[in-house]
Amino acid sequence: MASAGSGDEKAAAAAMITLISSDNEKFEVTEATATLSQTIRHMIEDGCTDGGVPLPNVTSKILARVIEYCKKHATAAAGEEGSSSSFSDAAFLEVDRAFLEELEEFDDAFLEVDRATLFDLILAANYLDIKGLLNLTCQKVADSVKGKTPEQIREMYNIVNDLTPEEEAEIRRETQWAFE
Amino acid sequence: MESGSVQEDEDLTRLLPGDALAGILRRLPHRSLAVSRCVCKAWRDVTDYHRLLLLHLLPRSVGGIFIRYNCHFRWEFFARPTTGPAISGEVDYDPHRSPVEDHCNGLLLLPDCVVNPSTQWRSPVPPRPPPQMGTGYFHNDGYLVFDPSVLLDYEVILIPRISHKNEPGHHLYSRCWDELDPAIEKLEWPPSLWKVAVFSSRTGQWEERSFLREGDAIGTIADTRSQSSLQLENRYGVHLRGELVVHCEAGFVMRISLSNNTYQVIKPPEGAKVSRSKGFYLGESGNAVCCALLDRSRHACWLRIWFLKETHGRMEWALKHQTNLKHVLARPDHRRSYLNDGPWILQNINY
Repeated sequence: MASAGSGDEKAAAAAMITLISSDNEKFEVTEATATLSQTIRHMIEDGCTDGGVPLPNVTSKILARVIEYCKKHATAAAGEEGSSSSFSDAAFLEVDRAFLEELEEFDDAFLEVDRATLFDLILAANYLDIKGLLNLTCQKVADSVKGKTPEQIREMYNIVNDLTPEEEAEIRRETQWAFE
Repeated sequence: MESGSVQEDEDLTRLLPGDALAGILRRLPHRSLAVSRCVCKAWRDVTDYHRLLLLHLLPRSVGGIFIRYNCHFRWEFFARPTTGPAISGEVDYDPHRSPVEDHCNGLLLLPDCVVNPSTQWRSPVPPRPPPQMGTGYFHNDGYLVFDPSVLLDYEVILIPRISHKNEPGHHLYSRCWDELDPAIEKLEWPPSLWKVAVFSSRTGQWEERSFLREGDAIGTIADTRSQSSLQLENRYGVHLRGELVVHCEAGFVMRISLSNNTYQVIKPPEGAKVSRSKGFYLGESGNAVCCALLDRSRHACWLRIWFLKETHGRMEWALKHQTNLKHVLARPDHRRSYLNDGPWILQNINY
């Protein structure tokens, strides 16, 4: 047992990945956390993570937030896997529900950021290809747009209307039902 | 663009790559998405490029089914009003209350307009040109082509038909109308270069388009006349992936490629006895064109369904289902279905 345990520790130690932000800050994360990013997963598969993974598109401020998200969700995923074999069905369902509730609370709190950070998180999630984070952040922006008029949306996001009056009239004609 | 450098007062959405913006917009309900398309060029272009709105326009649930009986002037509407917005089969928002001629992806074609029964939107179609090959001997059937997953414009295509002629001795025979012209009767049908009138909602005009036949014709006009009842009213059409498949004479169907202006004639299913007067039902199922034939006798009522398949470059019908409906039709609740007490109701349009 003892030798098996120390073997696992070695494997875990070996599976640490160093991520390097655009401002050259280094973050040590487990492989399980890092591979929530498909982009990093592919780099690991290709064996090009020695000496750290440079992420020139992500600042340390945003990378720290992204890692926080990945850690939480990687733990949840590992917890679910572990629990399925060691609990009875009813207990498993109970644990499962608790996990989901906790994750939801985490996600809600995670999204309590200013708009610039939210867009930075979308860019990072898109670049790192982290599906869950991209879903979460895109949904937050979609929710803010839902039910608004074009004028309200432009005002909210400082968008300049570069459509000609003819183009705008054409769009309104094509989907007249949406503007009634 | 390096993240972490954005300012609150700039247009943050400009920083997003198209895929990420599409990721946001595709989460919107369709009304909000349509409104968002009007925000700026980038939002419109991403919506169009990823076909986001167009997917929403296609109804996922069925609000009702139009049923076309040979003996009735209007299509009956078999509706399930509990599942969505109330759609009426009675096109009473059309001032002429014209009969429905064809449908395609939720739009209906009437003789002088196109309507959307779920929004009661109506757009006029200018008067139709007469048949290319002469009125009296030929007439046109209109078909609607609309695929919002590709284009928001629609087209109306007039398919030329041989007109019915009463035989001498028939009580309705009139020499002036019904006399056959031997020179026309021996012409090939359909012609190798087929001139068809097409209306496009984009241009708002009718134009002539020619389709080149690949493969054999049905035969001469006289052959076609002898093999089919040209009085047949219901000739269905199916539009699928840039092709219009229409029922033509004598159980044949015509597969018209709208992208490369060719067409081919496909024989009726092997072993199918297509009734001269009833023909068969042409439809679409699981992204394939299929035809259904109901074969009724005193002892059985066979429903057979074939799918159109391409094998070695040839289009053929493959039998997919075969079932005897006699027991279903004999059940007492089948007769009760005319009573409107279930989730589905038959709108009383003709009576």
